[in-house]
Amino acid sequence: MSGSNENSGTRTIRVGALARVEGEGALHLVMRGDEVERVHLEIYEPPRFFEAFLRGRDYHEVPDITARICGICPIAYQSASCYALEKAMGVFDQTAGDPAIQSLRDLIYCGEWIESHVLHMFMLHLPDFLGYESSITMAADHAPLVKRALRVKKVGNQIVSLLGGRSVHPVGMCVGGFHRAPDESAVAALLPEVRACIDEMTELTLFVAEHVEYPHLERDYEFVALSPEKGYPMNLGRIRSNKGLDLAQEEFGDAIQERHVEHSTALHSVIKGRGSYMVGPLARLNLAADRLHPRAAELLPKVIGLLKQDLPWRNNFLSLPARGLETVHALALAADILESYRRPTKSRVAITSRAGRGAHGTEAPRGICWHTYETHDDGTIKSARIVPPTAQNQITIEEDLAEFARRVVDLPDEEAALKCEHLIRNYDPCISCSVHFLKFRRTRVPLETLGRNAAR
Amino acid sequence: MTRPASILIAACGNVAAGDDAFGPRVAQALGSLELPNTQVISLDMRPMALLDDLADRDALILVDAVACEGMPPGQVIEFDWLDPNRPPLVDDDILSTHGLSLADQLALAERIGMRPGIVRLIGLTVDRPAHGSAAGADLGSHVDEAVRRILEVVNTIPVEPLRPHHA
Repeated sequence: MSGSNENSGTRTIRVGALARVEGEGALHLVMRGDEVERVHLEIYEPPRFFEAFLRGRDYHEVPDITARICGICPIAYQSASCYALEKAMGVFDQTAGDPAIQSLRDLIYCGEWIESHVLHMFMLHLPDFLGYESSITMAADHAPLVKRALRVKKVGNQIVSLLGGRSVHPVGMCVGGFHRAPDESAVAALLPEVRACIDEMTELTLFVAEHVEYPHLERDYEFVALSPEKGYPMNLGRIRSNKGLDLAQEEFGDAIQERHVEHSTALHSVIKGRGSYMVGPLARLNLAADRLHPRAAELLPKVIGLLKQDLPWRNNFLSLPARGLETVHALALAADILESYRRPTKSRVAITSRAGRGAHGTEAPRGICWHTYETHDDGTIKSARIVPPTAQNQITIEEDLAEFARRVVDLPDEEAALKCEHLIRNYDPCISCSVHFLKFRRTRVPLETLGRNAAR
Repeated sequence: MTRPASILIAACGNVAAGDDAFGPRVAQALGSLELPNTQVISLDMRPMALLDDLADRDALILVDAVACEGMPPGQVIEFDWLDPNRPPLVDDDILSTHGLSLADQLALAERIGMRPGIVRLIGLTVDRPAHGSAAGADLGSHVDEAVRRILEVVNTIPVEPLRPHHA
């Protein structure tokens, strides 16, 4: 409950259940005057134990199990788990080096980016900026805008369905490639709509650049994203930041520390010796704007001009136009792949089970989703660790809130709480994804200390 | 390019959450029937995808587990979603994701002229969804009843035949 406490001299702003985010979370902010005494993004969604119940499962099953971590970004989980397990099985160079498999993986990921970004931008986030309670009330005044957004969102789902067999919990991707490649006729049928949506999305992005007034909250973030040799961050590449972090994929797990905090069922991540960091569209755009598809690259200066804000953008409220640019990029890349598509003679590489270890992260719409697996000789999973993007961003969200709270201190509680909720939505947090962890600690008690009854 | 089937049957639910498997099980049963002018989709645990399939439909039949005030668990119910006097659902989240619930999506679709003129709900009343296996034989009989009632509803819906669509 929000309100002031005259005895303690504090003011509490509380949002019991965050709306328009995926999963269950709350905000708890305590202020003393203009100073923030405590800010907690409370994630109370129950832990889901995915890493634990992957143990002992065959490696083939992992992409379809991890895809169930999230209904919004299943491809991110499939893609990261496939690459990590291909490393464990010793076939990563074959899959990552196979142009046909690689382009299909990029294509299905484009579908997910398009669907997820547009859902977030126009159904969940834009109403905040335009002063509407929800997309329903927004649609009363902006029906054509919403219709166009839904058209683009739908084409994202169609791309996922083309390769994944269905848009909800797709099943097409497998360790080694894809179970089957789509027919050329199905690809050709989709291409005109994808092309048309590039123009639609270009105009939608210009709309959010021109007609939205973004709050100012510049912070000195450490932006972390993949850095591929070619193209914009998505499936491959080292992990780099704007502050000199430069890691092989396999080094990432040791470079970060995940902490359990009392107020969250999701782990908090920091880069060891450095602190919090940000993953997601703003990080990718700031680190790799020069690698955008030409259609998005030609749009970028127009967006910058309308916003009057050169890159790098250090204000995460600008994640909205960043997502717009990334959606144009994804649509244009998808169109290129569809246009040049020839059904490959093989859609996956053969794998012989072996004991191994592999680690890989890919760029989920919300940022790096990093997996590592160890396998036994027979290909069953010995251990699994999954680092999702929302858990990585959690401390940064709280730091943003601590800074932002000072700027809304003069507003009534309800309005201040709403502004803080808007800020959290900058991150498009996927709370359901962030709570799959299991910390298991066993204390061994020496036998001689046990009584007779215990030994029986 | 052709328009989509006039009738959309959209099932929601989690196959791993007890009676919440009702929707997907009904969709599975309907899938083998090849109903004319009808498309059956399972939204699984992602009902937000409904909006992608609403355009150009004459009728929508939602199939899901529901909690309904005053109705004991284990009843297959049917009502007109658009009837202002229909029984209220206890917790819309049972029919929703946290992003945009089914009710929100239909309200949004109405605002932009995309909502089908006929919207029916075929539901199985539940106490609360729980993780674990579905209710086995009991659920099976509810699924059979739901399929029977859906076929009756489909037969009463006046629809336009499939026709060419020029975008």
